[in-house]
Amino acid sequence: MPNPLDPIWDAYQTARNALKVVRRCLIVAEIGRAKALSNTRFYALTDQQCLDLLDQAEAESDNSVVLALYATFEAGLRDHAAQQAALLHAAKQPSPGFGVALADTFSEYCARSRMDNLTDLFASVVAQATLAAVGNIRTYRHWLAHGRSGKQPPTVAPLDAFQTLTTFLQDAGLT
Amino acid sequence: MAAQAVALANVQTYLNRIEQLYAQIRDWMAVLEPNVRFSETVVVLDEGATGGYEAKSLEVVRSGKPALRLVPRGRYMVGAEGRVDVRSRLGRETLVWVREGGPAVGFRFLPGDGPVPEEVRGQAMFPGIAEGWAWVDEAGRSLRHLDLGVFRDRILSSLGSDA
Repeated sequence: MPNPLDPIWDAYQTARNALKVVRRCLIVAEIGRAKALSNTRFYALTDQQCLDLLDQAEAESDNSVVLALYATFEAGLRDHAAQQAALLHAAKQPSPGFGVALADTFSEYCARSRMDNLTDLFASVVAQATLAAVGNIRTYRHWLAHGRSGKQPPTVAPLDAFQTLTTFLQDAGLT
Repeated sequence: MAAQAVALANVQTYLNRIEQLYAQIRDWMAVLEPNVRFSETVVVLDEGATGGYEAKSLEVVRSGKPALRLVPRGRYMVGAEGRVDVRSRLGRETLVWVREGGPAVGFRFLPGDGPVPEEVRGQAMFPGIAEGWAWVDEAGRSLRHLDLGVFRDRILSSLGSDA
């Protein structure tokens, strides 16, 4: 089963490399700055203005990839839970139709609700430290998404988010 | 109070490790580029677990090449026991301090301990990595123990040359 986080990580790497290339266009004398930067927002700016923009973009990119990784991870858990609806067909009391109705109800519940905190369902197969770290990534994601208000929680670097969430999915048999 | 004392001790350990990192980089740079100059400035970090504290950043001024700046980013982070970024006009690389194997590091917030978390360590996330400062190899999805070769061939070549 492919890791659903791989495409996000690959795109993040591409973005990081692209930022690096723009920096080189500004700094390396042999690269024709004007030609390289024409028809971009950098063209009319000073080098320092460009570098400031690139620093901001890099910081935002680091945060955005953590948000994207967690959202995709969360969707994977939610989809897995929703797929279990078929198991409810086995509920035959008071009638075979009950199991079918129960499965439909569960499916509708999964589609409607956010189901944004399912990690504890996997506590029997995922190590405690990984569970705690995933909870910390979730907290950090919320802190970022809600305007960084309140005390800063433990931070999350992009590779640590990728590695921790991937380990969880592997331990849960979902990748 | 005990949790707060642990947090303060953790910060002090982090600051000591930063000092050791800077000493190592001064030694390496003095060999690689004898004309290099160093200066330090104070930065203020404010982590929820610790409150505000001061740390030093290290500026490495080089002859004819982009300057480097090592900037502490904090002690409390998922997956490691502290982070320092290395920056130049050419970009940013990340250093983290990890125990052997780079074990999973998460935090639990216990009742009565306020914003100070309990640290939980688990399985090795980066088997083979030695304890100490490591360079975050994002392209390779791994950590590389920071030694002279990694510093010269990965960090300096990425941030410190002209291309």
